Amino acid sequence: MGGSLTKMLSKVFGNKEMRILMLGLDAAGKTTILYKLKLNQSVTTIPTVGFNVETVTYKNVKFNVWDVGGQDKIRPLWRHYYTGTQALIFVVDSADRDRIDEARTELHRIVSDREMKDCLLLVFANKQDLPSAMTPAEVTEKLGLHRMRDRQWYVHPSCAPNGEGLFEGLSWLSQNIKTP
Amino acid sequence: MASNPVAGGGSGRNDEAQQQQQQQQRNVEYILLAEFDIDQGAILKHQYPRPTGADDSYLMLPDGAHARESDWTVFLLNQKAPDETGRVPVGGPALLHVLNLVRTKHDKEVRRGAIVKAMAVCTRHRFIHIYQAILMLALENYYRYPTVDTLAELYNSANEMDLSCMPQLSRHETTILRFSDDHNMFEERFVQLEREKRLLGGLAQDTERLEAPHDSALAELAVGGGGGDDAGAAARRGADAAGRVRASSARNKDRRFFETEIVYSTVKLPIRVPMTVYPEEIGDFSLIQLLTTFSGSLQAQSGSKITHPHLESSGQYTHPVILLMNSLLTQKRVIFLGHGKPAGEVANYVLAAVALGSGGGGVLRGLANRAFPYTNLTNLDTLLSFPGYIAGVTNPAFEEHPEWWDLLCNINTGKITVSPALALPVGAKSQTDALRRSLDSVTLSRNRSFSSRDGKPDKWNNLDTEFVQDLMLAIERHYGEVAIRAKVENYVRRFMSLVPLYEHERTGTTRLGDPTQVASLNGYTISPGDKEVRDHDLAFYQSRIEGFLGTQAYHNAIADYESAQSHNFIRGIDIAHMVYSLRTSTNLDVNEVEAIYKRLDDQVVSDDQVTELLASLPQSQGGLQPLAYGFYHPSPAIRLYTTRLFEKIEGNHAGARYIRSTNFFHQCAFSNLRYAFSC
Repeated sequence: MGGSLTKMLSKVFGNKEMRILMLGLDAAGKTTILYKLKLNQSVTTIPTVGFNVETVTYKNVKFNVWDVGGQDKIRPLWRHYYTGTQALIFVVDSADRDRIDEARTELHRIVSDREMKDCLLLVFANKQDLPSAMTPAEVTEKLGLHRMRDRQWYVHPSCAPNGEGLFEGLSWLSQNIKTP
Repeated sequence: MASNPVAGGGSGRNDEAQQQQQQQQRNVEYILLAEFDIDQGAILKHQYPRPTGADDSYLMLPDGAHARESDWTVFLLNQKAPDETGRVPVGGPALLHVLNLVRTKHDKEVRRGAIVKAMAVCTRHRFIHIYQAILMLALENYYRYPTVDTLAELYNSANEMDLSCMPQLSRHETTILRFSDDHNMFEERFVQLEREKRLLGGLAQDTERLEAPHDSALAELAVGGGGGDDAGAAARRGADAAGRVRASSARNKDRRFFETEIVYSTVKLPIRVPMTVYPEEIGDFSLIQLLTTFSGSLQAQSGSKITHPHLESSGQYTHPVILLMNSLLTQKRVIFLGHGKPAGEVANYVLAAVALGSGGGGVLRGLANRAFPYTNLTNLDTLLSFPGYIAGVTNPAFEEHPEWWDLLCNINTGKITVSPALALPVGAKSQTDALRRSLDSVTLSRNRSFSSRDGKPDKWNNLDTEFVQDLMLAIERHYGEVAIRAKVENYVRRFMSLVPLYEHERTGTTRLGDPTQVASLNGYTISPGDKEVRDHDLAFYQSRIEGFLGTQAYHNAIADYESAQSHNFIRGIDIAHMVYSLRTSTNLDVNEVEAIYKRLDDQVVSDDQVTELLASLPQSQGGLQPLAYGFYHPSPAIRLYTTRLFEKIEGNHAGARYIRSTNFFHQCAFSNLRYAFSC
């Protein structure tokens, strides 16, 4: 009964599911974002060994979010998570000017993979609360996003611990998701 | 000094040289330490005493280690990937079993709030669980003193564990003890070694009086750790007295375990080394847990509607446990996925699966070589280079890549999925049709009265169903691990007894048995009723046997058969088959029975031969019972053969215990007949 009712409702309201991969350099704030979205509270995170995966429902869209550790040595593993990914959330530590070039290289490597050619790209210019943080425009420019043609991308400023900007990002994803 | 080897007396000579060599080897080969570097990721920080040649730091820091306080992983070193011909090369460094403990300590003082470290013990021992306690202490120590010295201390302590009084049981003796109700089965072997040790200790004592009072580990351990650390000298003086007390108090020890200890930074850890471990049993897993997890639900939709002849032996009604068993026998790639589970738990499923596929750990060899009890994406390339790997993972990303596996067992849901990407073997379709036809016809002829229900062919009433029902009933009745593993062993043994028959019938030759013996099974040692059963069995297992031929376990079985031919003490007769016939056959002809008893009496003469005979008569399955019926046979010749056989059995230490534990009635018959024949 309950099941069929949910099915009917989902037909009416267009219940969607979306597989999201969240990547970025180590200590960019991926896990903090994931648990802020999931639990709506700020948790103290420690470096992720391997991955975290959680389901977050927002505006009738079930986001299946994979958060994969970002240390240098484990980045080659990212490619194993590409299959079936509909959107990439790339998290940038906006205050880490030293490594923004490294972030750009990694981002371009990810999106150039054949399996990622159709996926949406959402960039969180994270850690906006830090005084030296780059603006979203600056991040956009430094990541070379303007050079990305044939791809829908969106940069949004965020501050993971208080959740600012996170749901705006998800809104953009839910509006632009392509129904298969 | 402490690990002075003592050659096991009276044990199987077939690999005695190898055993001696192993005794001289260390308990522990390497200690590893890995940590999660917050900038780089997992790094192998220390390897003691030297590098292993591999970087397995990622297997030491399992996925999700950050989310729990501690976890265990198990993996293997020196696994041999097969070459182009699909064969695993012989020789090379021995397989090492690695037990690893990982800990996450939250610490507000450090950058990013936590330190994740892991320490591992690499050993030849399959009973890796004995190192659990010492590993916990050592890793804790390493958090305090993060230097290679902490590893060295662990290495030395573990290697000083004294196993010199542990009897080296042959394979046959291991089997006897494993299924024995009498825990003192090989008591005299223990006692003898302890006595030798005491003598040696006495010698050491004499020399010590002349030398500086150390280098005493030998003598000290001879006392069995009777005193504290500094009480060593005092205890040594009373060594003889203490030894005598110990010997008498040891009478009621459970000799299925060897008791020793590891002294680690003044802490004495008692260690119980299991004596009855089979070659493919690693660690302290639970086969019962594996079976109960996957016996509940029917298999998940395989994606394709075509059933795979190697796997789905009873079509879509194949029981999940059989599906798993078939995959293991036919060397398919099997993954156990436990998302959110501790890596240690997942690893136990894999180790249990190795035991399942190898027949309780004791029939087939080579499954451990392709086992990856815990693995993850970092190891993917290695994993995929092993055909028929058996792996444990916690990452659900594996589920999304059916091209990586043939069978996926989800520990959380209890569902088993056949990969939609799994290709059918060449010419499979016609084969399955043939199989189904032959099966249906046989089933019909055999169980005419309930061959069909609701028009459905009788898929439920077959050998596999019997096996699974028997297992489940035993689990329900709280049978122990050993009993459950024995059932699995019998199942795989029966399967293996059919392989040479099938091969011989198909190709006219087999290297898994003596073709003349195989042929003679059609002759006098098998009755017509048995032949029908045998043909039915062959038809039933045909497609799986096809899948088994050419696997690594198949090649190993050939090698084992050849080595048994040259090393077994009883030659020229198939003991297992004779026992099987006596135990299960219906309406055996008098001449057949007489032939069996005569050949047993002829062939079983020496002590070693008796031991071998006893190994095929496990006490848990009735012991000498099947032979004892010979006492009551109308034929005097058979009664005579039986009596003579029992006299030889009585002369064997274990045999005497067997006889004492048989039914009182049989014992009376034995003594009466013996008296009658001696007159």
